[in-house]
Amino acid sequence: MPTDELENELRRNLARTAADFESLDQARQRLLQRDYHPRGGNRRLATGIIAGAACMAVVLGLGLSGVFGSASHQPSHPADAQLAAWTVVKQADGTVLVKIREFRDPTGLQNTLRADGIPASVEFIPANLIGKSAWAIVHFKGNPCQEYSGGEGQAQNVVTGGSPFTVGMFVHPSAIPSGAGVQFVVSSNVGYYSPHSNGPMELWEWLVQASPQCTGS
Amino acid sequence: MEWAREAVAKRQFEGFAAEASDNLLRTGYLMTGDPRDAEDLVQETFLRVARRWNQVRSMDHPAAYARRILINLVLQDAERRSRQKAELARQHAGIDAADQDAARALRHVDDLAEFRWALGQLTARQRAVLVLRYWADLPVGEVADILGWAPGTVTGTSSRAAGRLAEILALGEQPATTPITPADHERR
Repeated sequence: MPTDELENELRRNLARTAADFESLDQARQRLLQRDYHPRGGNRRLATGIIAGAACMAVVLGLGLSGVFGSASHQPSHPADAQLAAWTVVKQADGTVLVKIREFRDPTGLQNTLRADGIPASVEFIPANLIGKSAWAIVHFKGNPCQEYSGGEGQAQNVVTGGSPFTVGMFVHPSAIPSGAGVQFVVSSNVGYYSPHSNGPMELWEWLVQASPQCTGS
Repeated sequence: MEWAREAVAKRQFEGFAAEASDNLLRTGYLMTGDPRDAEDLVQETFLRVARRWNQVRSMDHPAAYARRILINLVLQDAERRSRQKAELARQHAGIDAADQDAARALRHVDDLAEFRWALGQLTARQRAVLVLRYWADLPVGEVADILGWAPGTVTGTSSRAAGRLAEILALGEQPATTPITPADHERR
């Protein structure tokens, strides 16, 4: 067995070498842009979704296509309390990076998104939605929003990036159709893999009709 | 609604991949010494994880499973290369460096490229045991489980690998190989 001194030197040199990986960001981005076609899925959730009638929700499965770690990112709202729960960063091209860490302050997130030019509605639903249909998830009782007709295909251009709870997702305001907005519904206990969250979370986004009660305008 | 089920699986997988990619890339880099090879390794790892995603996602540590795949990809490739180049293999008697000398040699490594080159002179199994033990900081038992070895083989190979690494660094050129053991019999 190597001595403690040797082990420490090994650790130090291996750590330095690993940290010396050049172009790590680019390599990561290339890797995450590829389509791996994972097999299976959230079986319990899927059962509920499949059982649902006339699902209008858009559950986006997307390749990551944004820019990670850009130096041009500027936090829209640097308040500590907000950053602890979620981060909204508007980029130079108008795209907005959204990362949700905690299941908290949906109104603050909603207002921040609106301030960054996104007609948005944000709802955090703490209930366990296993077994609920997608239709039921986005048509929860009291939802102030209504579906935007023909939005299913267009929604996939509005929100990109597959990791809202880890790396983040990208919202493209310029891709939002006239008269439409985006509603984000976050729920817990549906099996999302996120080691840094307080628990499993899932997020749905779909296009809704813009209105004062839904998107604020 | 099959699209919805697949979309959820895809989102889950992408979350996993985003979390695991940096660590896997660095592991692959330490194992191969080449960023492009590391990227290829991680891509193949992700492909294999994706094929079994329904099982992997329910594991306690999907990233550990992915790391195991990556390490074994390197070892399998080394085994294949070893068979192809068996006729070229040479065995030399070697001298194990004392631990103190080894530590001294490692401490004097100022050039990361030299350390990376020296790491590349080890067999894949030797690199794997050093990377798993001293970079991933895994306990001997877990390394043994990943590599399919006995714990004693892990500690023995670890010690020999560290000594040989120091020897390579001290000589500054490709040194004589240490005596071949059952645990690290394959070539790079």
